[in-house]
Amino acid sequence: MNQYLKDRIEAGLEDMAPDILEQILAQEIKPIESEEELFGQLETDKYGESWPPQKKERSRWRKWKACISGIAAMFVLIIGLAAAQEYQMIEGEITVDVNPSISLNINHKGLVRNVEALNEDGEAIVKEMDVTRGDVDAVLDNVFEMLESNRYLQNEKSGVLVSYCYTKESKKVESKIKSAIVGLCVREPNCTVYSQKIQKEKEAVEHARAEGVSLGKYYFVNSVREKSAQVEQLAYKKTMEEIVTYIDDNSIPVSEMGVRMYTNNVQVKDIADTVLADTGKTGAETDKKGKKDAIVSEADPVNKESGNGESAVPADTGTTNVAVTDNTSIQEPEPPVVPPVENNTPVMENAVGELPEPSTPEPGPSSAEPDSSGTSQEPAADPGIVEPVTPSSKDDAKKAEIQETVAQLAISFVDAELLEDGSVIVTWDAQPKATGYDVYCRTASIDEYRLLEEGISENVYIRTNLAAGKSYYFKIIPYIIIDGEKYSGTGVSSSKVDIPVRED
Amino acid sequence: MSEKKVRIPPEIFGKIAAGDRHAFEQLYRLTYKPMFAFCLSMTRNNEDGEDLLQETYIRIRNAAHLYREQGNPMAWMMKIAKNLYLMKQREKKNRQIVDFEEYSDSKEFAFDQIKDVDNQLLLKQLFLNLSEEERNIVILHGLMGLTFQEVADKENKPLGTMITKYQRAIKRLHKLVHVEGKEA
Repeated sequence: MNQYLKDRIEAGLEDMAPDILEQILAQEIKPIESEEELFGQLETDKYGESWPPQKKERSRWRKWKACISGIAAMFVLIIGLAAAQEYQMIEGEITVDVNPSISLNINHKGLVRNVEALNEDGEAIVKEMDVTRGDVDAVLDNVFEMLESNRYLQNEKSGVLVSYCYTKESKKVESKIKSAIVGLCVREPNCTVYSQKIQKEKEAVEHARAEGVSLGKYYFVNSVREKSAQVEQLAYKKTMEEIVTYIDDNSIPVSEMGVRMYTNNVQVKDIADTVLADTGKTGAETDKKGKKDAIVSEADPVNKESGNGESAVPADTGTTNVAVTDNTSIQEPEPPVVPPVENNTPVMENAVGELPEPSTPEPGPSSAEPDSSGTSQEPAADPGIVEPVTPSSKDDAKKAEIQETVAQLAISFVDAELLEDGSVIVTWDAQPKATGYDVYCRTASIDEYRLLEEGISENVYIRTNLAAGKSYYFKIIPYIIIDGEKYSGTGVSSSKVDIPVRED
Repeated sequence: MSEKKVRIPPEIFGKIAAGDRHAFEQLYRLTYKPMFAFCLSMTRNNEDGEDLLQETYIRIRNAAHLYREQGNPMAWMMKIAKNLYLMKQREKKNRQIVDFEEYSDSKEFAFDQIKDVDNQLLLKQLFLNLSEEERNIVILHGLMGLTFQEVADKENKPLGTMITKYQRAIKRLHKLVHVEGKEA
């Protein structure tokens, strides 16, 4: 929660709170005998005696579980040697470096088999972790949480390096890594995350070992060194925070290093990473578990006119976004990763890929699209689409009724304001008859509005990760869905919003 | 922009147990606002919330000698509040005579005591419009500073769900806060 919001909430609480300090102090201290008396009523199913979680107890239980599963594994080995071996084999590794260095070993199913610390600081973290097996994003989340609660990531130049190598391509694993990284960036706006794919080259492994750092860190520092004009070389053992500072101070072009960079608030360049670049529907893989909303769109509606990707990134309704942009014109824009959503929001597929018509007009007052609600939609303004016309008079009357209703959908003001954290809040006058709203935006340099997000159900929209240094205008078009048909009303645009440049 | 984290020096409890009034006052001032939010979220009205707040801090003072350092002290204090609340609930259930006052809907939140209109809207949103889950996580993580993992453990829910709910709740709160001028 940002401090601004917190201050306001606390101010309200202060006003409501009673003035009781003196009364409390006036009472004589009557020591409570035992913890039982203090906590006796807490229901075991909700809190239990083990809350706050006693880490020691849990790890003891975990060791016991590990023991049992070890024995079970032995049996499996006896029964089906080849299959068992395959399950146990490590297929890949993800390393997280901050100060602590932690490694997640991945099996052939793309699941974390175990977590190990690569240095002393890492050991302290691993000891505290409680999710050390299973889904990559769950384990990574736990790693990040531990780093956060141990205050590694709150300073201005905090940095995390995530390196992964895997014997086979796995988009699933990579998207889970990304999902965890995005979650982290949302929570810790000061933190920069670098992610890189690496190969285990024998020589590099030996050198890394000699330097006392993880392979990923070794490669990363090497890349930084290569790009640095400094005579004195960056030391391998520097912490990520020191490295981030170094990168900033020396304007190291991270985009040329074969590394992806994630931060909050700033769109960042990344380069040819063929694995994710020609991914088709990575979105479809995203997951059946609860992490749907945390996944972010990789898509960049590359603006064909200007040739460099700087427009805002479309994404799902519910969450803040971290942007990753392609800066090369060679690469095709990736379609958005869109999780299934709960309310009205129609799924947006290939909105990017379909937008390239250079003259995309805004939807007119009663343009209708013959698509059914809830399925993928063409971008709103297709000039060729006409309402289906039926001959009977009953239908004519209905049509007139619809037109009348649609004519009432008219937004008269749109307000767009910059919030303290760099995000923009767009509000407009609510249309009671509208089913929902579509949000369009354009940058100052481009005349046409592009669909940014559709199916907003309330008259508020918050957008983060707009490009720093750019100016935006927003336009809102209300729509109503009648008998499965979408009819759009009219809207107006906001005044200009300037996104400040992020200070490093 | 990162938030200032409230640090409660763990030795404060020892001082309170020894009778140091100033230490108690320090603890109270550092913590009463999120604690009040927590009490209000349980009692759903100001009158009971205030009673609960007062009794909780009395208990904290009486139990200070039992405190053992274990992570966020707020979590310990919160547990005391929750336990007290449950005790009172049990008492109510056991009472044979129906207390008319308990059943009346007249007990409300005293939002009108909030001076700033935007703040008032914000708190109304927090207590009336957010779901219980969303409210919990905003109070526990956003105000009290428990980590997502701690909240997930307490609520017995997956970590990812906590994060998503939090983001959604914050967004819902944010939309009420227009940065009109620069706030002092």
